[in-house]
Amino acid sequence: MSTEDKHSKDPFHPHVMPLWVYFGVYFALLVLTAVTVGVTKLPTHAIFGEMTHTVDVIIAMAVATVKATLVLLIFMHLLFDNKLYSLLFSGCMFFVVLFITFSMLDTHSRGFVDEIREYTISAEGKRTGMKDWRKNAEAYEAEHGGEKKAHAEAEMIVEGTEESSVTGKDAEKILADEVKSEEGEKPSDKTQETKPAK
Amino acid sequence: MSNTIDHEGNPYVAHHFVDMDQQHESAKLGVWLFLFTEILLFSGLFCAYAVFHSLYPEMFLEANKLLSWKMGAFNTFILITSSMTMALAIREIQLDRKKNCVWLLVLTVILAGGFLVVKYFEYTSKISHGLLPGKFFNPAPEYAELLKDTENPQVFMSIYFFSTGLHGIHVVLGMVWLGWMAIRTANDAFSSKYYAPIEMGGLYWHVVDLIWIFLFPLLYLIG
Repeated sequence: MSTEDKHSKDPFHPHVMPLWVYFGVYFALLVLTAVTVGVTKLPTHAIFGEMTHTVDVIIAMAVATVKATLVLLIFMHLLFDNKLYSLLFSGCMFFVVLFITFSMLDTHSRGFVDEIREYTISAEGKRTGMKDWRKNAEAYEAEHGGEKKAHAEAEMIVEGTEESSVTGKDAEKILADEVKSEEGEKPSDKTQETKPAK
Repeated sequence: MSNTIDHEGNPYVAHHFVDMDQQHESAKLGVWLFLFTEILLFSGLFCAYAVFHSLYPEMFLEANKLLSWKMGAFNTFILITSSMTMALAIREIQLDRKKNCVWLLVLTVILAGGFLVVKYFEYTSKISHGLLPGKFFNPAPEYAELLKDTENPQVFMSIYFFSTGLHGIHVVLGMVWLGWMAIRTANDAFSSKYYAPIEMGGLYWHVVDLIWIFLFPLLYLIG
């Protein structure tokens, strides 16, 4: 509004808002706070039933966002300032969302590819039961090796249509040998999906 | 004044700026960039909240009852009020009413102090009941009873203490900044021609309020 004529020769004039705007925003913030407290603390279970907590979370976050927007646009003057600040603020919010979303994508997809191996932490903060991660991986291998081989065998049967000379039993042997040779070179690859032998 | 070239009769315009508008906008851009880093700093704690909340939703629902939502709501009221007095302080200096500006800044600092007093009572109550973060979590019997079916309630207290603690440090820094602004305004350093430091202090103070607007429902209400 008033700051649009940046390059005019007019002297510096602050943009002054009328008093009612400040009190209006203040009143709105108080009412919205009361709404959040009311929704989450009053016994709304009768209305929302099973969904009560979900509804509470959605309303509380929506109200907090409205409150934050009021503060940003009016008290922090973004509505009247150069739109550059609003643009940069959106960029900041983009990175906040990116950060939280991708962190949660990680924490929610653990174990999808490699199973999560359990170990306990002793009072001294040391992992017990396992001397080092290689032992850990070996124990995992001993426990899950069978499954992996069955999996490899299934793939082998599909491929078997081309290479009929390799039977299931042979494939298992070849696979075992290959796994061993791989272990010798880089033990860290143990838990990776073993490629079917050709 | 050192600057001899005065573009608009404003002695506060530094020699490397075209006019006060440009100087003011430059300062504002710098402060906004700083505030973005502040928001990103807090987003780490919000991220921890999101991750652990999704891992232990039932625990958050129970552990959230450890906090007094009444104290949290009262602090929200204090902080929103201080945000308004801060915005009004900027309006008063824009209108060259310096005395009003000083009093509104002082009031803002007092409200910030009130926020910290409430926080002090909250913290001492949590500490005396052994509701502490991480390995220090050693709840009093009545709380242990409440939490007996939950997994890792100490994580909630860690997130509570770290987010409200970092926020509290920002409140203290805000008090220092705004208190200094009150002193400088009283010493006639600012006027409607030049009040950038007050406005920038205000932006910082509103961000402190913004963080609390999200912390309050997340920690005290929905859990």
